Amino acid sequence: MTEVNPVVYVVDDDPSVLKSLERLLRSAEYSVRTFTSPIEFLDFQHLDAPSCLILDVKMPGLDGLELQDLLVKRKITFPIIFISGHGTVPMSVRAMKAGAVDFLQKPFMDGDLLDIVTCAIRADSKGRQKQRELGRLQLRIKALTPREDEVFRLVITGMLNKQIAYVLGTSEKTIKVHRARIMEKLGAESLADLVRLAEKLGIGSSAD
Amino acid sequence: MRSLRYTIKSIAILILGLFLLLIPRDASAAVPTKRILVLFPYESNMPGFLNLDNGFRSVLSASKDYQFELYLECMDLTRFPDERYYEKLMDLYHEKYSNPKMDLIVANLRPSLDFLERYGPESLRQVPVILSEQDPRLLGAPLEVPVAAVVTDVLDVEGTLALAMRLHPDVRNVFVVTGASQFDRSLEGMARERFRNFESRVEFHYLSGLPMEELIQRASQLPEHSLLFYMSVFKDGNGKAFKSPDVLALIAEEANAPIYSVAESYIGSGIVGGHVLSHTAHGARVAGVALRILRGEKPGHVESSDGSGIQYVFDARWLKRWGISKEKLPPGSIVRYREFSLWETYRWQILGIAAILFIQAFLISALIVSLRKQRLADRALREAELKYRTVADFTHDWEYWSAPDGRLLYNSPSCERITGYSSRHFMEDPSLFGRILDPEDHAIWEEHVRANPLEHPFRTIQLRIRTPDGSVRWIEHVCRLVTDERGEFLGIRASNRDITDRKNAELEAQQHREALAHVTRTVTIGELATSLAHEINQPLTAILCNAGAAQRFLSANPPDLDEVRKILSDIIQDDKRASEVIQGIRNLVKKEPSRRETVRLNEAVQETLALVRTASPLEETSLVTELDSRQPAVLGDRIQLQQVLLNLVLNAAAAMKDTPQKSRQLVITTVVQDSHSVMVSVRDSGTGIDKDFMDRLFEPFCTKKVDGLGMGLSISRSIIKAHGGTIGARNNPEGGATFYFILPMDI
Repeated sequence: MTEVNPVVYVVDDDPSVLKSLERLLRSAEYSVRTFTSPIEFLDFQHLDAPSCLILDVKMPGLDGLELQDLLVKRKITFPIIFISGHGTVPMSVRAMKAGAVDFLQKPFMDGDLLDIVTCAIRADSKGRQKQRELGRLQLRIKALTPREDEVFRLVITGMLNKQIAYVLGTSEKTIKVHRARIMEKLGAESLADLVRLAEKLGIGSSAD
Repeated sequence: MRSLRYTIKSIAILILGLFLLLIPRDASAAVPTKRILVLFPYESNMPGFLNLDNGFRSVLSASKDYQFELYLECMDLTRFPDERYYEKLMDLYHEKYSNPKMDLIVANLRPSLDFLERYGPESLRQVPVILSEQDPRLLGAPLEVPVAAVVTDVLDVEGTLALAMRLHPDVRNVFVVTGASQFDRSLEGMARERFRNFESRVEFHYLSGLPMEELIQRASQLPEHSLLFYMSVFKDGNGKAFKSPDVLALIAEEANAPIYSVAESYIGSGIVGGHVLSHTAHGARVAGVALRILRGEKPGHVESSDGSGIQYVFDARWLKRWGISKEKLPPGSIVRYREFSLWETYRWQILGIAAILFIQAFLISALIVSLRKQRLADRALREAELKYRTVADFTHDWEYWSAPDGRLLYNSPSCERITGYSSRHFMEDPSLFGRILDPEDHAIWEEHVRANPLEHPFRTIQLRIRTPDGSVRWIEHVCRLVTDERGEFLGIRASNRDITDRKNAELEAQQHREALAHVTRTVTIGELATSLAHEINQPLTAILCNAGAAQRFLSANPPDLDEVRKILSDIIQDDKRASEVIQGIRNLVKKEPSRRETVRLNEAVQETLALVRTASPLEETSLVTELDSRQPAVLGDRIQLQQVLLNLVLNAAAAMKDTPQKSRQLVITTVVQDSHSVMVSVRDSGTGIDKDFMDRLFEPFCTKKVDGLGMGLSISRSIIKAHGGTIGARNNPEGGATFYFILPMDI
């Protein structure tokens, strides 16, 4: 869609299901990679492309949910679409909590799956974009001096310069200078910009 | 009146006369009677004389030539030494013996002869006289009147003294006892004369003519090494008359030395013994001489002793008193008054009595034992009869014994409880049994009756009978032949047990089991619903995806028809797969009461193989059957069991899909494991079973087959379970797997 053709990975131990899924995704012009077991999938070197994973829950050996846990631990963040012949509520809750995109009950309508796949690819694509943006922001944050970083974390809490100076035991004037340097380094034009930026980086909430 | 008495008297005399004539003339009439007068000078109760008289009479009475009349006169001359007495005595004898005349007179002892000579009447003077004297030395003065014979014996004074000295070697003094009478003095004289030869060896003291008291006192105070020699005491020093043996007895009682004497008549009165004269023998000799004289012989003047009348005789009591051993006695000695022990005296009586007692005791105990045995046997018999009767009559089961002709020899009262008919009904009408049988069971009964009892010694069948009230009861009938020890057929002994309750319970249990099996299957299905859904959802998912893909491929430009064709083919496959799942489930939940019939497993195997032999999966496979020749059979549903077999065979064939053709081998085995169960196994040479699969091999939807559903073994398991069996699988050590099931046998 954008730079690279998106890829859909499918893991299911039932060969006929696997084969039919491959055909369906291919007909929707996705490039498809099929695996009959999670282990096989883990061994595969993933492509750097927007992608999603269609994962059967019940499989011999490692099952779908366990594979999901493993991927989370390895910080491999595909959108995962679970498909299950006998999904239970606890099963789906667990999957969704661990970040699954959707939990489809077999048999499902081909359109439903394709819609979810499209959404997932888009989300992954967005995620990848966000990731890249975040990377850039983090580089900027790293450019701050320790004192500037200190001041930045207090600014985003909404404190006035006078208050910050009092906390840090310095003058309001010095804080004003720091503040200007921070705005410049982070490319922010207002306090609102700074707050949004901190939010993106996950700073602030962690300070509480 | 008077003439009548006279007549009677005459007739009586006549009859008596005739009677006398009729008496046979006995011997006494033939032998002449001889009359003998025996004279004895002293009193009649002197033992020596009594013995003499016995010996005399015994010889005479043995004589066949004469009959004797003996006249005995004991004159008692010493006690009545009076001339007038003598004369009167003779007058009396004259009166007595003049008529009839005596044929012989025996004058015992010299005083008798002297008396006869002095006072004898004329009537006796003509009669021949035999003088009998104990010893020639006592004959005294020469005889003035001739006598027919003089018979003497010997009073062996010397021999007796010698004997006494032998028995008492240390004797120094011999005290000779004699009385004061004329006879006593004659003996004293003889003793004095005879003992002269012994005077150098012992000292003789004569206690002669002493008063009785003194005599006894002297005798009791004899010095050591003394002995008494008793001759006779008929009168003591005071002139008192005695019986000589009595005096001896008195002396012996007090004497402190042994006493010896020469007359046998003193034996028993106190003497130890001696070489004594037997007056009996002497009497016999006198009688012998008398017979000779009567026959007319003239035996000679003096008939002296031949010594046969004297012998060694002892008194055992006095031998013992003086401590004289019997071994020292001369040979041929006679010991009298031996204290025989009871045993010696009555040995034969004791033996006899003991024998009789023993035999009696034996007989009595034998009788008691046999009586007791008999009684015990009787009692045992009665008890046994009562016991068996009690056992038989109180049995809960209906017992009977029918004779070869069909009659009932025994029928227990319990039949009434079971059949409603009393024992009498069956006893009177043995065919009643056949009539109360349920018509449906007639065939079973008839086959049972026809069956060879030798092959089936105990035969058990179950039958239904109808009671008089129309209800149906089940009985279990078991019977056997009754034969005696020779093998003779005695009929049939049968026992019928009421198993109605059991049968009803069985039927109930069967229904219950079937219901339960249904519930179990349903529950199983319920539990497996999720995995079932999964199994059906899989093909459905594939179908939907394929269909969606097909739609897209078709709407592409140009449409990819080739792809669509493949998709359609896959859709059909998936659809089939789904329908198979559904079919399997239907089989699983189908509630049909399973048939119960005897299934011969070997036949079932053969039939199953006939079905598949030509089927493609088994092409090029070597099929081997190893079937147990015992023809194992189980009770169950033939079709279901064949289904299991078919499933195992097809599984095996599938497992050998990748095996090279020449090593594909399928072995089907039936084996009787023990008396209760049989195992059917299907062995293949395929790939074997994955370890992962082993645990849930028989669970539904567990399959390795691409086109398989995993229902076959699960269904097989429920069928085998329903038959009370088990199913299992294992890998063969040489490769491949063996599936087997074990079922209880129908025995």
